[in-house]
Amino acid sequence: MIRVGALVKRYAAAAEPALRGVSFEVASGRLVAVLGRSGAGKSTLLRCLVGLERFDEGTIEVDGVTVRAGDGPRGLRTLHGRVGLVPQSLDLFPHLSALDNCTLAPRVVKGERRAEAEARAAGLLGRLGLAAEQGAYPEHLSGGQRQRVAIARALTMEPRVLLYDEPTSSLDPSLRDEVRRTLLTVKESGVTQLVSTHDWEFARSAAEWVLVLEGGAIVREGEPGQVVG
Amino acid sequence: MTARQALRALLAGIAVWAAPPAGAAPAPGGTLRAVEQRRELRWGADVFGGAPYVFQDPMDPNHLVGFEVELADALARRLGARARPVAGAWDKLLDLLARGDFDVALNGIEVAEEKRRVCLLSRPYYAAGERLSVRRGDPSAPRTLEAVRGRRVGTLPGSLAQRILERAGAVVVTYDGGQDQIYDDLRLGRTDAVLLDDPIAHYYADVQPELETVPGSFGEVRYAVAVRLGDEPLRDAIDEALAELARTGQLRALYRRWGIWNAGTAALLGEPYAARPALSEAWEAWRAAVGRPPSLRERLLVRYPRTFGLFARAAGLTLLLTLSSMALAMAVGALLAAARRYGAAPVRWLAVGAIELIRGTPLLVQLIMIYFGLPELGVKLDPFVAGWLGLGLNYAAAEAENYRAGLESVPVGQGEVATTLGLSRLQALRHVIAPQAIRISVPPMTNDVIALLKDSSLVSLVTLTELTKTYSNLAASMRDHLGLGLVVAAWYLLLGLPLARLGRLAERRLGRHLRRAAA
Repeated sequence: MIRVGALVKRYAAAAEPALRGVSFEVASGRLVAVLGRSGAGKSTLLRCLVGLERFDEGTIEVDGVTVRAGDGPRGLRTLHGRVGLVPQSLDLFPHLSALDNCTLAPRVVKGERRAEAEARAAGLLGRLGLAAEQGAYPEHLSGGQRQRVAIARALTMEPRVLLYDEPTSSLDPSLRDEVRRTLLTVKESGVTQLVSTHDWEFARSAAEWVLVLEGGAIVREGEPGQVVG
Repeated sequence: MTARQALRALLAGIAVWAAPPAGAAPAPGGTLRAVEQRRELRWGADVFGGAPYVFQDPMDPNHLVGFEVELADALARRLGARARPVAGAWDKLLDLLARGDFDVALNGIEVAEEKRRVCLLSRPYYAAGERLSVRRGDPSAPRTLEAVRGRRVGTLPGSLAQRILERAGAVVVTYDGGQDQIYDDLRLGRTDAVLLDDPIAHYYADVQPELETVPGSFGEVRYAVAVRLGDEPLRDAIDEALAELARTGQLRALYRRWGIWNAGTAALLGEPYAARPALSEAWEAWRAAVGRPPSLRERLLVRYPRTFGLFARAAGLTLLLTLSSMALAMAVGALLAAARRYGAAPVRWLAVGAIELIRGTPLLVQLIMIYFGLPELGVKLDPFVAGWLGLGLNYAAAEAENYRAGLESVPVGQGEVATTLGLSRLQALRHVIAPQAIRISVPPMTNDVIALLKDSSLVSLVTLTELTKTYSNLAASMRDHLGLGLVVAAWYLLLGLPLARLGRLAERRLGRHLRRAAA
């Protein structure tokens, strides 16, 4: 469950706030799209939700944990691991194989033993259709495969919420459906998913609920059919 | 270990080394007491091209020979000790003496008033005339003091000969290298004459048929043993020993053996003088060894093999110094790079300041400051530690920039994703950023190790005889610059090529994720 209340974020260099009082709620296990043009504040919203960015006003609540404006690094850290991120640039660790990308955090952060971490990671990669690519380095994977490794990597920390930043933008349009199927696979595990996108078509086909962000504020929300088109 | 702990450990380590090495500081009873207690007289001299004073035997460079070697032995025996030579640059001998690197300096040190401000001088043990050498058969050669005006004349820096030449209006050319280079330049026409002390002229000009020495002396210089200020008991003991050696005729015999017995020295010692002995064994041996270049066969089969031990020891020192300095450079460089990239503003400025200061000044200046400057603040470092610290800190600046470039090559998003996965900053650095940064930094690091290997030659300044110094000593005493140059080049390659190969291996290993075959 995500509950965002009156979230305001200003960047020092910018005249206008990037987020101006954003409030919304997403129930557990839902798949929600945040729709908006570039510059609408989608990425900023995601960065705040995942704890990479401090914010100036408001609150963020994720499954009982609340972070308030003005909270320092310690407060933001409570979101790490609890909220996962699949960045637009994916940022897979290029020096590690697909499997090692997925076992690094469980081993280093949770202190899991290698065998245990590998078994879990292999299971996740298998479910996302990457059973054969475990040993491959990111350099040698296709764009779609890399994205699924990034998703698996985020899921190994068993987050309650998973955020995607523009998951279709760097992919061939024909892969849109593959992404949709992947999101549905993840949905089966009960993880709450928030997908930022400027792709109306994709939002309509994949999401159960759509938030429309414009100029740093939510201007509409509803079911895809009502909001979009 | 956190970065702070590492820094503290490093500083503690430096402080331990910074303590004066045992035995170098004057003992409570003065240096004489120390010499008697350890039964060893450490005497400083420059072996670089120093015939007939102190030089490596051209036939077997493992032996240090020369009339001053024998004089030092005789003096030490009188003091109930053994003589141990310590190598230093000739123009730095009095600085090294003041530092405490040896007990006395004994190497053609001229008696001059201005020297008495920095050291004590014994009674003179030798008097030498200043002799002018020219090219044989050169019709325009200057043969009088009047004739040197405006002409290019070579000599040693800081010598009486230099002062005489300057007064006479000559264009004085001084050399930091050995005496053989001074006479080589004359032979090759780069200078018109050379004015130097009689023994030098005898051993370097008189052995070359292309050169001749003008009859008569242009001045007289006297040599004395230099002792640290405040060490009057040692100076008195040396005076007494010299008087005894003169009285028993041992000095005369020594100078005759070396073919350098002359009227001035006879007068100095109160002995009668007839003429320079027609021939001397030592001079003949020297001429036989250097007068004519040995055949390639003799060089390859006899002379070069005899340099093996000296070069091997020097190579060991060079390698040890290179590897330990690089380790220091890597550790300090990593700290500086981390401070510069991740530190708070004041820490960042400090790091940038340190990097620019170190990078922007010559290594030679830094070495001189560490070795000769720090003792003024009471920090007297052992020669190896001084060289290690100088090289290591100098290269730390290069490494810091190197690692910074590596760190900056890793996209910011990598660190952010690691953060969202719950990794701490240090964990992200260690498992995500550093492994990628190192790959970028390895090729320039390999380059730096090789450069450091070569720059380590500068530590000859702090009395360490590494490869280059060994080469220049040997080339001077064996008068074979080209052949021995190839020999020392081979030694450098022997050390450098494996290091380069190691770098390439590391590069390959760190870049295996980029290779198709690894997939």
